[in-house]
Amino acid sequence: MSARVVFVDDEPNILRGLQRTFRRLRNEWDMDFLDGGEAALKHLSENPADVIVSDMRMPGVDGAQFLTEAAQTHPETLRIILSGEADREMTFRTVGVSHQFLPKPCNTDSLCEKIRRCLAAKSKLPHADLQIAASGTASLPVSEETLQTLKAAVEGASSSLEDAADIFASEPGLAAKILQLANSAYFGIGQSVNSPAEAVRLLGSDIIKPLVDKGCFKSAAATPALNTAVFDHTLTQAKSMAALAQKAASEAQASSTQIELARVAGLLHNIGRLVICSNFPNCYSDLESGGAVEPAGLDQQEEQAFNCTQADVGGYLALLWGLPDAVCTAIAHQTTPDTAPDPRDAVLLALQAARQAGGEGHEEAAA
Amino acid sequence: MDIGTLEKRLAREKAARSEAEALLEAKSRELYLSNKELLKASQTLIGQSQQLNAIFDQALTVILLADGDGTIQRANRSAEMTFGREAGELKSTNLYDLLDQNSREAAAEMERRRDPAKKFTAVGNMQEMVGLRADGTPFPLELAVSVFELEGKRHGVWITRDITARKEAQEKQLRLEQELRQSQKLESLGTLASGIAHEINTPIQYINDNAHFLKESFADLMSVLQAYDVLLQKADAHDQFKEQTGAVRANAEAADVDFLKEEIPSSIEQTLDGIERISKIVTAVKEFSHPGTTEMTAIDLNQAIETTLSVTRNEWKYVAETTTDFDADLPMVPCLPGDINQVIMNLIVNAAHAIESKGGENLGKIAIKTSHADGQVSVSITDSGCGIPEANRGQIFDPFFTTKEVGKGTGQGLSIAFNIVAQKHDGTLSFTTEEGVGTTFTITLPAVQASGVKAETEAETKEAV
Repeated sequence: MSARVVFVDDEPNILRGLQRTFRRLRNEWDMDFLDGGEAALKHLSENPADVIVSDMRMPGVDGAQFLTEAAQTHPETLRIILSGEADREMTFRTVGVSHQFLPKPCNTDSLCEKIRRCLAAKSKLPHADLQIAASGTASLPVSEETLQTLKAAVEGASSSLEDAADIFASEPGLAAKILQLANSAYFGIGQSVNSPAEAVRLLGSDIIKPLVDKGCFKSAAATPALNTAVFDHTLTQAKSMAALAQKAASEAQASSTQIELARVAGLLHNIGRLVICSNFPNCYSDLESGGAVEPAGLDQQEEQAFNCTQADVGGYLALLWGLPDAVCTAIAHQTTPDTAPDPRDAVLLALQAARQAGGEGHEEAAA
Repeated sequence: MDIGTLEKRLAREKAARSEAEALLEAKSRELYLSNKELLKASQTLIGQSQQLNAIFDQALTVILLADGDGTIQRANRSAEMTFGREAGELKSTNLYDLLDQNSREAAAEMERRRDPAKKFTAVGNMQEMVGLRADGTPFPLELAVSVFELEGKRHGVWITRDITARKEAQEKQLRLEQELRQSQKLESLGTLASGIAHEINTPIQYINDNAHFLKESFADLMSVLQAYDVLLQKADAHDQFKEQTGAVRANAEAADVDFLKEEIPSSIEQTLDGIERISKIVTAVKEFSHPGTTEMTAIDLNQAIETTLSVTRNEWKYVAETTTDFDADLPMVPCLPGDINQVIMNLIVNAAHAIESKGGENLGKIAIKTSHADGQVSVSITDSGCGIPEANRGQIFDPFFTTKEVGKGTGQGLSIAFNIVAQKHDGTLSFTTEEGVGTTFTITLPAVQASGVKAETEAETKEAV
């Protein structure tokens, strides 16, 4: 079945232009071009969609309002903003309900490529529930303690961006979200940003503070369905992998950019598990019957429950959020490096080495 | 002599004596009174003199009394303090030695114009001059000169005041006003530019989409045309549909189809190129006028330079070629992005002007290089322009110093750049120059400290082990 892609804009010329330029994909995608938010909502109520590409400034139902409703009624969709201009207040409303923000004019080839890759990653998740959980994730849970530290760091009179940068680099939930926002054009022109600290500096406290205030980063304590045992384990694992992957990359004499990317890949290598443990706390039945929390066991239970791995979920989320390519690939192929587009990629190799050193790879091999 | 006569005489003499005594008393009383007045007058005089001395010494202005040759006779406390010399040293010094060369002539001219016949000349118009302190340091002062004659001798009184503080305040005020004007101008330009950029984005999007569409669909049409060609040849070979094939050929010729086949794809290609360039410029403008962040934000200087080069293209494209040599591992630099963009812009525009004023037929060169070392990031902008003459090197960062023609420059560019780099960013702005060869301006800025992250990951590594 071909993917259903919906384009929403109030400017007819834009819609016609997109229609013409995507004509070559007419056999691959089932496309609809809708004039404004209201028409789009009506369309969605009658037709399912896989991808939504929407403008921001539209009369009546604007982009933020449209996407907020679409995220509720169609959480399984990939939601991309394609906008020439948006005021900051409106943009804040789209954080969490949209996945990426592309500035106009945008290269339609790269838009097409983005959509294709996301759809391919989505197809690896056989369960619709899991697809919805991933694309419906507005933010990943962050430990209450770290979130409080972050709040103190941005609230205080002596608030320092450097402190905030360190905090963002310390937990996967914070790092992934801030990288998503900086790599998209939500609050800037959208440029390739590899490290959470760089993302924080780029966005600046003008943006970071309201993001924290508006609750864009969600505490684990505020995630009622969370399996806390798995969450705690995932967090510890993420932090140790970050350090190990960084070390491995630096020992392999990778470039400073690759070392930073390896660290991020390590920190984010199990964001898929964060999605699972905050949406499906009961998938870990072994734990309930007193089993110990250990990675191979978790992998196994996830596979039993969903017929895919946390790496598939993480890889999909990373692509949805437009995280750096090397990080997306490393996450998605952490257990299957041979199927990666470039199995010799420095970041992927560093994550492999980290898994070996951290015991994950070994236990898997045993299992 | 009879008694009567004697008695008369006695009486007469008694009268005379008492008259004399009365006179004496009156006179001595008179004397007493005038003496008393004299004493009073002298006391008043002493008092007045003390008062005058006190005024002389306490006056906040410098008062110098000199004889006809200009040798100082009296100098007050202000004079000692202002010129940094003792009263003894000041006396016998020549007035003119207290001024620098140019001011000496001006002061002499002032004195010449004073007419000693006019007993009193108003200290109305003071002139600004340059004085010299004891160690020869120049400082600004204002001076009024009056000349008078006393006992047939010519004297001069110089009233002067140290105006260093006032000058500094004025300059600061001027600089602030200038900066404010400049930043207001930039801000409104930025707002305008980013508004325009946003407006342009929407049409660019669909022009671009349409051009892509034309390109692809023309290729599709071409394959259809090729199939028709085959049909045409077949018809010819079988000598059929002569009328129709003739019409097709005539139409094709009229439309100059061969030309269209060649030119349509290349015209679309050029259109796409043009759109690409417009998009780049618009992105650059958006980035350049990125809503005035007034806080320190980390930016990639390489990209900022790239952006500034494209925004200022019009300033340099007819006079110079630009080359960039970027440090690929350049760390992020915390700065006020708008300000740093302005510094880079000022330096690039200056480089272009330097090349322009050197003249010559060939294009000049502007080379921009970035590098980092020891937590410092540096940007050097080298031009093959006229260089800076020795005499001007000390002044180029001074406000309002300019060698450009009126209207070409305000003389503020480098001073503002210096202020931004040194004051606001704790960096340095320096230059090396050779006349006729060119100038290199180098900015150094402190880079982002990565120590925090490093320490943390080390701790994590330990934990993991």
